[in-house]
Amino acid sequence: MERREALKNTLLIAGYTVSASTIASLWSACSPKKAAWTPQVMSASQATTLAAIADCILPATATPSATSVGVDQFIDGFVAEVFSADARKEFTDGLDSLDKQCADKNGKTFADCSGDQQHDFLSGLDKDSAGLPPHAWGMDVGKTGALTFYRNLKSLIVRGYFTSQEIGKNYLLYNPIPGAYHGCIPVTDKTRVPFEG
Amino acid sequence: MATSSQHFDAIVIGSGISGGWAAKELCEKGLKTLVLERGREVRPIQDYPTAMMDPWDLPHRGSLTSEEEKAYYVQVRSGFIGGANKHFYNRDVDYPYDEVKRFDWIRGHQSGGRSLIWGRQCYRWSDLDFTANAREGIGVDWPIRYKDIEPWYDYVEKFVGVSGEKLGLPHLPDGQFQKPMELNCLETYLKGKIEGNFPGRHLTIGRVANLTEQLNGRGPCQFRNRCDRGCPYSAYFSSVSVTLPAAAKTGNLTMHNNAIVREITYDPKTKKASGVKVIDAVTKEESEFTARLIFCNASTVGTTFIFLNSISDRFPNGLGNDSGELGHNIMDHHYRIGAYGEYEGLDDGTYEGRRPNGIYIPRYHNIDAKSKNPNFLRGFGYQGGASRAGWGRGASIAELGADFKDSLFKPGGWSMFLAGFGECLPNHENKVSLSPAEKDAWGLPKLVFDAEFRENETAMRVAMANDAAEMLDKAGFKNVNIYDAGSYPGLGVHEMGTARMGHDPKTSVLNAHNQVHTIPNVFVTDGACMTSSACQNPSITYMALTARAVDYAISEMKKQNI
Repeated sequence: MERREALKNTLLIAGYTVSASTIASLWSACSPKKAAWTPQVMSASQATTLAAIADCILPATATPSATSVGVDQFIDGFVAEVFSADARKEFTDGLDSLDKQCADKNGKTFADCSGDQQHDFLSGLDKDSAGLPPHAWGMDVGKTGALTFYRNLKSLIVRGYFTSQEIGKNYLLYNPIPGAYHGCIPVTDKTRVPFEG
Repeated sequence: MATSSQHFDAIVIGSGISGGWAAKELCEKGLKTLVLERGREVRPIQDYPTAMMDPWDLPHRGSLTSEEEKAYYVQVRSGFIGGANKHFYNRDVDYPYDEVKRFDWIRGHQSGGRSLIWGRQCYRWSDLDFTANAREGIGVDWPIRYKDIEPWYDYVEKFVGVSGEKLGLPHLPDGQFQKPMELNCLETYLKGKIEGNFPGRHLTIGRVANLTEQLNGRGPCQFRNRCDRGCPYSAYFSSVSVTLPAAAKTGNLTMHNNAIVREITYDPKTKKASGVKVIDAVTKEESEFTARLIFCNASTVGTTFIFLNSISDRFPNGLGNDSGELGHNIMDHHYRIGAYGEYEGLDDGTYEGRRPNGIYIPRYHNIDAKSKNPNFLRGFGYQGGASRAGWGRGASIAELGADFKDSLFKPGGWSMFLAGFGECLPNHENKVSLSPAEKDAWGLPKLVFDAEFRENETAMRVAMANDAAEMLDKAGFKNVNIYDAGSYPGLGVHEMGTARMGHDPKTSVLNAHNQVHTIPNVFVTDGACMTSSACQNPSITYMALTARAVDYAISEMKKQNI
């Protein structure tokens, strides 16, 4: 109860109005969901796993969840059309391996775990794997470490979410024709990350 | 003056950043001019298919597929190519070449060439650069000095539209600038720190061919940073937006696309070039054109190919190649090295708009007696920029869930990177030649690249990395790291030098007017002409040399010397 109130206050300070049903849905973020579309590359159960992972990382708050903007479907299409055959196999094997690791730890596959179990499991993977190196002008400008399957997957989930039209147009700063460049302006409550660049 | 559809007053080979200028100048001075562009037609605005696309509009949100990466196997080495701009780059599988040593030939064949996709940075050379070879006994002396090119820098900059800040530095002369773009919060902070900690060093906004003010009905820049997709506002300089339309306006321009010039024909009786032989890129039909004057602006290696492939009894080693220097002395800027760091603070400041430009730190090594460096000759400048982390940081922050997600909608911490651009010394052993046996899809000899960065470049790179880290460190940046993303000739996309200018026909291909020493009606004003490389981005210098050379060619024609 305490945490829920604190979260509600945080969201109000951030300028969002939060409904009770939204808050309720926060607690169902890390929980099983069924895939409602036909994957090209993943099996139905792999798609379910991916959806659960994506919504655990990016649950519904005052802004949509990952699956509600089709991140799972985007990733399936991306893997189908962009990845090489080898990379596609690595991807589906990676999902299976992640699921097996979860089953080894919790006795259940990822999608069947409780929200807390899912959160804790992914946190462990996150803390254990190097981040992406800083990148500028088409080159790495730093070194981190070997990139794990989880890191690459998380990157794809974040990218699929924030480059979606729903998020870009409605929740980020959507300024396709800025008209000017202001180099130093105050950050306000209304400041948002731009949709591009 | 043209009498048949096959004869023109002037032929310009190539419509890229220098060819477009040759076309404009020649047409405006009344010459019926044929431009032969080997690539496909690109018309302004209507042929920029991705210019207005948002990330979700682009196939795969702008990623190349693995099949595309295989097809563009050289272009991907640059890190510049993606789904939004791949149509302006060559599919390498269609244009193979040989690399004795790795050479990343980054290019696109279309109207405007790489002027559609260039970085638009414009920095003048000074006599520090023009005298370097002579002072150090390297290569050959430039046959020109700053006073020869200064009025032409003025001339082209006023038409191109370059925005920037005047600094009054003798070794980086100020140009004819429009209002400079703004530095952001962290860049302004670093500028103060660098100039305080290292007196004599300067950090300024990039001098860039994006309009900050309307010019001749173009622009101004709308700060979308989608330049390399083509600009619907004609707000950055390209041949397609600016010089080709100016040429066409005169009524003197004829332009053929898909026209590969295979050789320039030499007439031993007149001791001049008579014209060109062309093979159609699509139909492979052959044709010939004649002209009184020829400007070869096919880009450094493109021009070199044509000259090497133009064999005659008089020139058995390639057109104008009495010296044996044709194809040799290829240079490129080496870069992709520097430092990166994070800054804790300035959290209450951010920026808005997407600036198509970074910062510039002019060269400070070897600019006078005081700054003489014991480890290397010549010098380097830095480009780079500061930014606040966007949603992308979410991939790497070891958090997940509601608070984590919500935080990604607001800007993250500040960071900055500096990338050095270093001068490359001319070396006869760095060369481009024609394969004796292998042919391309048009039956023309394949090109063979055999060039590498050497001692001076390697020594310079140590300073490029260390100095950058030192500047960030002394300014209080955290987690400062040096990086070297690997630099091979070609990656700078400033390849130059293979038909160099010089005083002496025994050691150079072109004279002080970019005229082939031994062939008065052939001029080269693309990167092939360069006698040294300096560290400044060269395109504005090519443009100035082109306008100057056309002016000279016209005066020679009036005197009946051509």
